[in-house]
Amino acid sequence: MGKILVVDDEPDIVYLIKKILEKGGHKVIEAYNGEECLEKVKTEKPDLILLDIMMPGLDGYDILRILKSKEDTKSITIAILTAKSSDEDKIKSLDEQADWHISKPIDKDKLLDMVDWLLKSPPRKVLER
Amino acid sequence: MGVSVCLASGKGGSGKSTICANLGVAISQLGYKTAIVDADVEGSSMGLIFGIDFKVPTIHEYLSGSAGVEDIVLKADGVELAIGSVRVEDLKDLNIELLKNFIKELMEKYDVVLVDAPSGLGIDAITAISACDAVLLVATPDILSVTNSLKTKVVAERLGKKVLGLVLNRVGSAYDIPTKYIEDIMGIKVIGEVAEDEEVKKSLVEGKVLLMRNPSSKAAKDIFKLAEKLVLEYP
Ligand SMILES: Nc1ncnc2c1ncn2[C@@H]1O[C@H](COP(=O)(O)OP(=O)(O)O)[C@@H](O)[C@H]1O
Ligand SMILES: [Mg+2]
Repeated sequence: MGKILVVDDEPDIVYLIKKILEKGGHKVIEAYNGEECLEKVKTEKPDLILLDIMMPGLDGYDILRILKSKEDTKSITIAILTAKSSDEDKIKSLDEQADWHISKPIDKDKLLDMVDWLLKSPPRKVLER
Repeated sequence: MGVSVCLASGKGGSGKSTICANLGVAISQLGYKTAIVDADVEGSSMGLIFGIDFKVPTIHEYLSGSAGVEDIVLKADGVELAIGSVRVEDLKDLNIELLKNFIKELMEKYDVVLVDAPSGLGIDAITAISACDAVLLVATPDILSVTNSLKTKVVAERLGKKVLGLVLNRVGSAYDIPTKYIEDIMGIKVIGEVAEDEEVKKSLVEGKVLLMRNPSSKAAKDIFKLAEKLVLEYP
């Protein structure tokens, strides 16, 4: 069971994912844009972030770079959760040092299964660039 | 006309050469006329893996125009193979484009031609992939290797190659990324898993192919199973 921050500018998606994760016994925090995500990371200290890419303002890649470059946040596991699902998109997520890339749409059992695995796995070692 | 398969991966040390050698021996044991080509011209390892003295002509001589196909291909452990030279001097005056002719010629005589590519996506690796009909990706179950193999997959597909699937090598640690998630992100099937096995290194030290030296070892059995699956799915 973990504390999971769900970041997406689409309220419907946040709601849906929150329901799924709560059914799986997780505590869920919401953020609807990049700035709010950074706030919630500070105040809530989540174990895992499910991060959308395309958001107005700071996008998912910006957030990744910010969180993975700070000492106190770099060990939070971050999985990109996005509708951008081409191989090139996946490569970009991994190159930006996301811990994993999950393509939307995703079914409920698969999401819960992946989240359990991500919560169990140590975050990747972040390399400065 | 046979089929040529390039073993490729984005990352060095994933086990391409080891799997190429043993897979070749396994496929030939299954009754297919098999050739192995060492296309990793800057990091040749087939000679070491098969324990062949480097006094024989190598693929470098073909690529520099000083030998023909028949001069180079030699027999070992039931397969026929073209090893690479390990001498730095032999890297001079190579025309890597000739690899394509070399493989084309072999495909006329063999059922299966396995090509051991260099790591990464440099010109030699691209040439090896281009020269083959299909690609078999080899990765270890970690994020770096998976990321790099995904890049190799993208390039292979852009070159119009059939990607047969992914072989996961050195499997067996608690830190391994589970196979189902690797399949999910790679968008292709894991068609074989080969265990981390000390016997692989022991074989290398002794200069004998694992499948010949210790066919009952875990890794040898895994590779044999992979060979059976490949010939079943792509007869
Ligand atoms: N399944 C395995 N178990 C243990 N060691 C392995 C295994 N596969 C490969 N190795 C070792 O890993 C190293 C790299 O393997 P190699 O086949 O040369 O990789 P590549 O050709 O992809 O660079 C070698 O020392 C090899 O003996
Ligand atoms: Mg090699």
